[in-house]
Amino acid sequence: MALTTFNGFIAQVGALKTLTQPLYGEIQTATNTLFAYSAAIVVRRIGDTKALPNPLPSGITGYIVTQFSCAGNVATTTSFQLVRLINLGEINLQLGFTDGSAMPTVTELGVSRATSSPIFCAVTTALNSAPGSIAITYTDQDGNTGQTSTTEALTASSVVQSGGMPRLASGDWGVRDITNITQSGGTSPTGVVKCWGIIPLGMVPSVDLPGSNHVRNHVTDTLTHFRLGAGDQLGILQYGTNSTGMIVGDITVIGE
Amino acid sequence: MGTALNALDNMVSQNQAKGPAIRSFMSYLSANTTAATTTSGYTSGQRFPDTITVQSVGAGVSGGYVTGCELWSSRTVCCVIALETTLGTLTVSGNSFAGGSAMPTKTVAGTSLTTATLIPVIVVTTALTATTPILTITYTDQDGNTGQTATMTLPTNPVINSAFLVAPHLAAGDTGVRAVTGLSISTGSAGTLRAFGLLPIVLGFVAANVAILMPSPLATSLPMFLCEANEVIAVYNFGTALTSQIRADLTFVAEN
Repeated sequence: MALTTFNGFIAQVGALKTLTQPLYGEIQTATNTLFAYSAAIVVRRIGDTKALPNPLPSGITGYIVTQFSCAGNVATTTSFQLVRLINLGEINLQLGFTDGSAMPTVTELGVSRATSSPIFCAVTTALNSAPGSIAITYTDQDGNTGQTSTTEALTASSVVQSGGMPRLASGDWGVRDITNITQSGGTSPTGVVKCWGIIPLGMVPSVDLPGSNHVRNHVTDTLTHFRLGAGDQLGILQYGTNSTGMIVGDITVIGE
Repeated sequence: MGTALNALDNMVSQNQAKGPAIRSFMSYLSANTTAATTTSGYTSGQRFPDTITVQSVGAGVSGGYVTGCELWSSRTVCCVIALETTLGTLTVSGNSFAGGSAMPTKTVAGTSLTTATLIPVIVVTTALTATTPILTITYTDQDGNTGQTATMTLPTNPVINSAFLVAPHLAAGDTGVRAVTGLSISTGSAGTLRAFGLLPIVLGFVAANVAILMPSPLATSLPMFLCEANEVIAVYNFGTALTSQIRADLTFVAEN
């Protein structure tokens, strides 16, 4: 049953066509802001990657996120964001680029097209003390191929889970696909940087006493309900801090 | 009145029929901007250099309404996300004015009308070399009266991305601007100023690092401006002149 009414949501809850997944994550070593440009946005991965069932259970054709909650014990004021992650590719600084997927094609406002997002980069193998720089070649939000990001200097010795968002070419606000990542400079660079596309699914602050819980109710708060499919990967981004810390939380999705 | 805002369930069914859209915005200011004075808007402002252009919509869809916005900022600011119209440009060298567009026609409260921006701004798009220059803005007011003038004395040598509010300096009795017909400056040898008209779609009072969700259409204090293809969405901070980063995720529902 496609969810076309608010009553439809509650009917699915009554029919037990819901799924709740716990979220947990811990940063035991302070992370680094991956890109060294002045005033770079401070963002990183925290927590596990969650995958929706694949195949979907019988009678379910997709899921809609209806609730996301998160509590953190990070001492500094920060914010958490639930996102759908799309692996756009990665670079092993020694071995080169490995391609991933493109952003998914969806129907939005009556048009079928590839979605776009900023690039979120995360360290999956720690970088050495002279990792040099990377430049990302991508297809932009309008389908223009061969666009190139700013050549971004990598922060030396960035630890796993360090993150950052590279600067796109002037006029670009999103990417549909990454087609290459190149490394330059440095001294015997090592480490792996993975690049994700992100589809935002909810953002909550962690501002009160450590452990306070914040909930995002998507049914009535945003009135916009995004569909997720079999095997979609979900993750948590954290903004504004590189300190150690942890989160606990959960997400609820309703099947249709 | 179209479809999406006729009933709550219509917003759900529009998501099914036409698909929701989401746009992620990431930008930063790596250098301080120039603070406003009592002769240049009173409240300091800054414009993020990145913008989002509304993409095409499908057959039978006229545009999208922003029904949700999640916002994170590195600064405590008043953040304005707005449909932005370029009203005119002044090249300081030669005191040369180039006309832009008039404010768009929108349906507000069921009536199609020529909008007048309540938030006209002057933005430094190339740093000025000018000592306390007096800027004269000739404009058409909210009622269509032409040849109105506003005068501002800008700070010396304002830097790129600085934004100055014009509203406090409009002619007595005026509340808005439909069009700018002239810009001239008393002194200066270099730089560019651009007059923009804003129709706010999100007004976010955000504390540093504390993510917020803007109210749904049921609770918003703003008119619901339809976002149409090729319109530009820009992001401004007011209340700071310091370096800044921002992440914003806008969700749209289709309007027939």
